[in-house]
Amino acid sequence: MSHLLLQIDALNAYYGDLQVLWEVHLEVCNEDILAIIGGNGAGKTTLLRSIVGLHRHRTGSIRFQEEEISHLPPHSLIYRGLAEVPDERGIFPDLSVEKNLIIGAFPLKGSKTKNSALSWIYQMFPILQERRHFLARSLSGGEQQMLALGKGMITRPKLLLLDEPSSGLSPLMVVRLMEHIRRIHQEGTTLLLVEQNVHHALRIARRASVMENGRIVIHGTSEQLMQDDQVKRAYLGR
Amino acid sequence: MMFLQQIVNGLIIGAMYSVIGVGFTLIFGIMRILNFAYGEFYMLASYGAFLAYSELHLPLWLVLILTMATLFGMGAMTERTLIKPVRERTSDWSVPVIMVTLGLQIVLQNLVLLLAGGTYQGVSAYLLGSLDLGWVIVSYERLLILGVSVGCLVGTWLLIQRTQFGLAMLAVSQNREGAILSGINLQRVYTLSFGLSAALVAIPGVMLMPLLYVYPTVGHVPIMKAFAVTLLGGMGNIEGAILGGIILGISETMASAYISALMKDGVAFAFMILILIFYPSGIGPYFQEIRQKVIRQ
Repeated sequence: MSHLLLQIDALNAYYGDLQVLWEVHLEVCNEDILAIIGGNGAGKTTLLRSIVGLHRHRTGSIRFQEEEISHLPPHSLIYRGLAEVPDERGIFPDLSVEKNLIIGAFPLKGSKTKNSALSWIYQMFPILQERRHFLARSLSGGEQQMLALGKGMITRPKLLLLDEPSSGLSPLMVVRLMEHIRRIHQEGTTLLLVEQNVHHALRIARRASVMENGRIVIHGTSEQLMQDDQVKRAYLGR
Repeated sequence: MMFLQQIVNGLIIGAMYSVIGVGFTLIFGIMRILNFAYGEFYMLASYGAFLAYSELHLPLWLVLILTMATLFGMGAMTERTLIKPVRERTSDWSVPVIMVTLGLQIVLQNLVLLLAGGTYQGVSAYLLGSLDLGWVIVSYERLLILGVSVGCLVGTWLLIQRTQFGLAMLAVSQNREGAILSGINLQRVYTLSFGLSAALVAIPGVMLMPLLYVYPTVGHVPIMKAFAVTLLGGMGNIEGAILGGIILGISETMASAYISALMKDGVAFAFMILILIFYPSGIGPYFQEIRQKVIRQ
């Protein structure tokens, strides 16, 4: 079972009395890309927030590298190799691009390690180096998403959760973003990708789950899902 | 001559207002709360300085360091024992925490009234004599106040811009969840910045004691300045608070010199309202906008 990176069992989440996740089971294997697709309000964002502990009103088991993490303080997870790029991108609007990345590198030990991590990110996203003295909020949407990815990646996490990285981007930007995500995966990071852009999500992921009303309703390889009549009708518009 | 003299006086008192404002706006930026007990931290520092300086006869530099260290501890302890429990019980804790600080303000005022009595106490001056430059005369005491203010503003600036803890504070103030996801321990940032804020207001608490004296409700003076400076500079905006303190200091001294000493606060606050009508989110953001443009070119 050592190839299992993340294992979620019987996860329920609530907003007050309202239950929004119902008995979610999910497994992410090492070096995989798992996509979670589904419409607005299906519970995808809540699922990611529950995994990293930003949403704490939840029950069930969340195991990361065979360690139960559901009771741990959320800021400790990055030190274990679990990172998230949230839907609002998690960047600091009034700080420069470089300071955003430096803060992202806080969990790394030693200034040498930090500097080489920074230049690694600049190598992957040259635009960030060009803009390194600009305030994050003055970047375009696409550049901000690059910054969010760079900040999420800078500690080289084992598992990166991506919440709607394509939201608000032009179609051309989405294509380039997906290239970056593929490269992040090639660098050895396992990905759990939440997307409304089902076309792109299924193209990039090996396996995918469909979420509806807080439940995982379909699960399979991306090829299977692309052939699934229900998925075609509801999400691919065919 | 008189005009220049007023500008210099205004700059000196304004620098102290900047210190008061920075400590106050820091906590707003990081925790989104107004600390109504902020003036009482000032008051406690003033009493501490009075005891250490005029009863124990300690040198001023030692008084300053001891008072800052004590207030840092008190601030951090306040956060741990009174604010943290509220924060842990609800996610919507801004208003309850503000009420806790308001309660703490009254409790501390009453407690000190009971222990020290209501009389005004103080020392006449830390330093005597003055410097005559011909075009302007400044007392050594005011020069000292200026030196200490500038020193501690520079120190705070370096702490925020150059240290990991400072960057963590900025991160928390701009995006709480983004900070958590970067591994920043919010609890630690809250506790330490509360301590830092109290240590900052300890500086005017010590330095302004000869000018304002000390009594149980002296805290209403610095907290009014803190409000004005924070609003002028933009809530949570550190650079804005530095600028706002100087503007408030100069407008106060101008008002008392050219209109009436009785109208000092009235004119300064009317000026503040006027600025806010045109720049509702304070002048700090505009100042930063200009700087960003310079960087881009």
